[in-house]
Amino acid sequence: MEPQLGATVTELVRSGVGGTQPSAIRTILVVEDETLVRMAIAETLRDAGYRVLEAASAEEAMALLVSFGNIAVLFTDIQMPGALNGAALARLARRHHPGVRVIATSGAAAPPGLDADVIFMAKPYPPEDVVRRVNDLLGRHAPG
Amino acid sequence: MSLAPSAQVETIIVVDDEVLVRTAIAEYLRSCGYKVLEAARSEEAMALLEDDEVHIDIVLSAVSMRHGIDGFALHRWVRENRPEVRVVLAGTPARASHAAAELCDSGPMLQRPYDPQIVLDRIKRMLAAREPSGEDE
Repeated sequence: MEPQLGATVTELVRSGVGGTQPSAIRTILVVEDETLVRMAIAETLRDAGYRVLEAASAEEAMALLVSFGNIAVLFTDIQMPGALNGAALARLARRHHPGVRVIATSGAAAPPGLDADVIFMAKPYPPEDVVRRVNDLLGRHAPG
Repeated sequence: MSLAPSAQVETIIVVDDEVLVRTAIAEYLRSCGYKVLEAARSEEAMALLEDDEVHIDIVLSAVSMRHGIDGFALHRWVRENRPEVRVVLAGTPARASHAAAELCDSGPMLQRPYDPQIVLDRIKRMLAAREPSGEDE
């Protein structure tokens, strides 16, 4: 059973269950209530080699931010139904998880209260542009 | 983007409104080699199933949903509208973990990456950290 145990330990470390992030594979949290848009962005980021977590609302995103200590980038839509919109989520993420970089997106103009270090992307955009912005933000040309 | 039908990789859609369960099951199935889509509600899954550009082979769905259509009704809808799609219902995170393990046994890589109990333990740990009384077996 040694190989299975090895795989288990590797997975636990990689998944951040131990609360650390020794792996070079960076984790991106994509928050978008439009299913097809979320899926397209998530799949494109996965194809680029990132580990991607998906949230359909800001509330789901908060649960993932708390449970996974290794999220490098939060990519969130600003207009979302529910008690929290993407701008509020970005503020909470920056306050409680200062290591998380944030990209916010909207079909409207950037809201005035957005933190200065939050990158804004106007909709529409091709999913490949998201990969490019994430690569730029993480200071790498290719994830790995 | 690769949402078109794939000749090699089967696509599973995981439907669960509990994001911590959905994420753990989806990541496990991805590590088995499946392409995995995620839906937070039955209605999201139905939208994906109705989209001609999205190819789906299997639906793995929770039974209970806090809002909207539950897993039983989703199953009925799939049977009537997309009968070629296989549906697996799971009433608890434990059943979802074991259903995912069984899918891994016949999946693209023909082996489980690790024991499904690891997935379940991880789900329980995450749920307990968020809601101390939220254990589910």
